[in-house]
Amino acid sequence: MIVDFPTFEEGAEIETDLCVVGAGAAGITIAREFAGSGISICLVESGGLDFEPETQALYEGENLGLPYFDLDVSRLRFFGGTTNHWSGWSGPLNEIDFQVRPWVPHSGWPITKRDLDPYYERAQPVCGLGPYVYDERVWSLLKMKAPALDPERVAVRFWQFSPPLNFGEAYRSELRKADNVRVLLHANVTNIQTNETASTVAYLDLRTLEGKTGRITAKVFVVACGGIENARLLLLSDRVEPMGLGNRHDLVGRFFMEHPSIRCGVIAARDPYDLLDTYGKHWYKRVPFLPGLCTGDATQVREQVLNSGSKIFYEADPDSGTNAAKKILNKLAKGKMPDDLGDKIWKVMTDLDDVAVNAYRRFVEGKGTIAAPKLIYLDSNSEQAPNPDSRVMLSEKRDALGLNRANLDWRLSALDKRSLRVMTEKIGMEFGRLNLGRVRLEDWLLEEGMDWGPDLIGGHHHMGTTRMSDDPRQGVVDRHCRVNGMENLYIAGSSVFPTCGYMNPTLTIVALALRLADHLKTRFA
Amino acid sequence: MAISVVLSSWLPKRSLAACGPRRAAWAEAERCLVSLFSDLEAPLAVGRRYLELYPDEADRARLRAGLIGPARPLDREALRARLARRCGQDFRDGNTVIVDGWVLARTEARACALAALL
Repeated sequence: MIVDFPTFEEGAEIETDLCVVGAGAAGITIAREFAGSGISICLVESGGLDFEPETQALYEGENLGLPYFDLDVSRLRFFGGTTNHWSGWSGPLNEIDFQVRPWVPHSGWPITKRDLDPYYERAQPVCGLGPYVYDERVWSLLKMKAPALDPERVAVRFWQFSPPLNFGEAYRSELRKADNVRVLLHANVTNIQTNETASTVAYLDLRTLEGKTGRITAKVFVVACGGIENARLLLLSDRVEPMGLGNRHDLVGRFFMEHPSIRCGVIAARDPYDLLDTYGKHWYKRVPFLPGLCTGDATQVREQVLNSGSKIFYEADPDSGTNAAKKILNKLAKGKMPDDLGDKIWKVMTDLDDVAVNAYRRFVEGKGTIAAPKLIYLDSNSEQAPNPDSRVMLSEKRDALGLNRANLDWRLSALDKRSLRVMTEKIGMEFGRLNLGRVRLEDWLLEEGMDWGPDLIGGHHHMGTTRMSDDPRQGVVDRHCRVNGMENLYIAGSSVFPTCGYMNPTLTIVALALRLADHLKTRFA
Repeated sequence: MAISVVLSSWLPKRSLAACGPRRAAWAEAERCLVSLFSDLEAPLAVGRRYLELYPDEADRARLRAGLIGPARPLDREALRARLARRCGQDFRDGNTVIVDGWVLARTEARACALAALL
């Protein structure tokens, strides 16, 4: 069922077996795993079923480090969480991402890729994806010949795209119908209250924006509020532990990671159309796949770099004959006369080569059109090394609930930049070897300093702030995502990633949520 | 910039007239090499930059010997194939240089450098 906390009486006390805070990809996944079981679930959500500016404003905070998205833009605070603006890019981390890499400080998960594989496979349909295949085998699914890249230098790994699935819309009905699930809307958790030794959570304090309060008691609590808010909530819960829960070793909020996204190279292609055909989007059983290039494992080891990835994108000439012809045809197909018809016909007539190439591609070869590529480039999705100085921390400023806001100090290191340079160079070598073209590194990448150019941005991926390690001095949660030193408090989401690879995090978030749900099922059994 | 694209020669014919048989063969080979560039503007810029980065390689005879080998009649197609093969080998071996940001095979960068010295 779905209920609104403001309709409860002041001071209401809600009892449940399992309390999950945050109805995003992780929280909804865990709740669904228990739907129909004998375990009572309360899924607590700050927002409602739709976007509300007053609730969203609770996410405001300052960026103190590298330029970044506004913190209230980079995530969403209502039912479905940030999947409400998810773009659907998906893939698993690579095996090497889980390993201890001596050249990457603080690297190594307490679990392996193999441990997570069954959950990745289960996460595929949850996320609206196709078969659990992301490596070279995809080429044969697509009935395409694999490029002859040397995998030691540059490996091909695919992205899959979810439609994208909005978890709030996709699973609302299922959760509404589940008798044992109570989705509690407009309920902000303001404090996690523990016993005197901070070993067990006793209850959560709730508050609405209008000031109504209440509390939830449960046997087990899961915090699943996203990579920034998970840390914030632990830091805010300081009544028993002055440094915040799980923070005896000053780790909560530290090690914030993103996937630096930026143009790292341009490609002078021998055959632009052939290159874009190979590295463009392909469909297998209506699921889109996109080949990406990443630094081969052997190169990562030899060059002591991170796992960097890249897509091949292009900018089309907006004045190309093909674009003009498409606009004319689209309008005519709708029975309308195109605007500026004379201008468009002129563009077609003066760019007949491009029009002819695309007409042949479309009507003879059955391929999509590629309007006069003006610039082909490598767009990075690279791993960031764990860095304790890159962090989320509490601000002195307070939100409408009277709680300290979160500030973000995103920082990158020399290793992050060098890793991207090595990847781009290796792609250049491989493209040269295969005579696909030549690659030019961007100017900022050639400079030795820490300049990242003006276009650096992340992927709205907030990771690492409650990192996983079996050693409480190295991590906030253990291999089961249980807060180290605490008996009944768990964390779900990308904040538990000790390292982040280059792959978009949603599939791993869902896989870890499924794994956590299995762990909790055995605990309740 | 790719070496595989071939266009016409650019060296003046009179440079050959002044050469002895061996010199004439060298000059012919150089002309042949330069003719492999479809457009000289970029290769010359790359060549000049390469020589700034590696000034000790600013030696026409040495570059020529390294790229073309012993002076002997060499047709353009054979030279193109030879250089393309060596470029491929350079990329395979990681024998690359970065010139103005471009990841180039050492061989093609040296070919540009030789063109810049002529």
